[in-house]
Amino acid sequence: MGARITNRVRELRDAKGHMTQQALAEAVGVSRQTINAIETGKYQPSLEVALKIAREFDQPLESIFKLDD
Amino acid sequence: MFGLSFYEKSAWGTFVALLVLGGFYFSAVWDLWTADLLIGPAVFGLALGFTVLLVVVLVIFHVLIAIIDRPGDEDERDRLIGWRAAQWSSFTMVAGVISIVCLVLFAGVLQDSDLHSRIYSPMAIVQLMMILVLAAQLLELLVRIILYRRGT
Repeated sequence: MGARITNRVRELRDAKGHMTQQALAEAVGVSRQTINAIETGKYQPSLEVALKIAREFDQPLESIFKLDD
Repeated sequence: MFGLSFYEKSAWGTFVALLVLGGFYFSAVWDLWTADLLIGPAVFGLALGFTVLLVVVLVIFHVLIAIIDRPGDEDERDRLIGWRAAQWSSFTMVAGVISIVCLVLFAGVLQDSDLHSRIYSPMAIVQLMMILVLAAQLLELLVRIILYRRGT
């Protein structure tokens, strides 16, 4: 299938004043269930959504999403 | 049920409705076929009843889930899952059509057999096509459910 990508979305969401999945979903333009799927590793977002997440948390993309070879 | 998106709930409900109502419909069609009564008026009534009932059940179900969880637009994950599931449906349709063509040709070769008289009827061929469409839809919905649950 390919390399596994891990992320820190849940960690960053909690650090941002316990931001809800719904709030993050609305900020990046996806559903709450998609945010949940991203956090649990069941879905790898597109580059656009990943960049929007990075912008929301004001973090570089590679500090949020990591490639596990 | 409450953690699922509208589109996942829709896939579950449609899958169950098609499986149950389709099962009843084709069970009745099988009874007619084995009794050599697979003729136009009987099948037409059965198909009409199945269609109306399916539409009513699905409309009620979707209205209920829309009340519980107002649907937004499909997002990228919904679209990706939809595309991947549709691939499986396409493969099934192609394989199924080829299979039915082969079956009809084979039955055509066996001119004096019981198989020939049973398969070589327009109603029987129509029912085979309908089974194929149902199977393709069920497989597409099942793949959607698996991708939603297991991940893409």
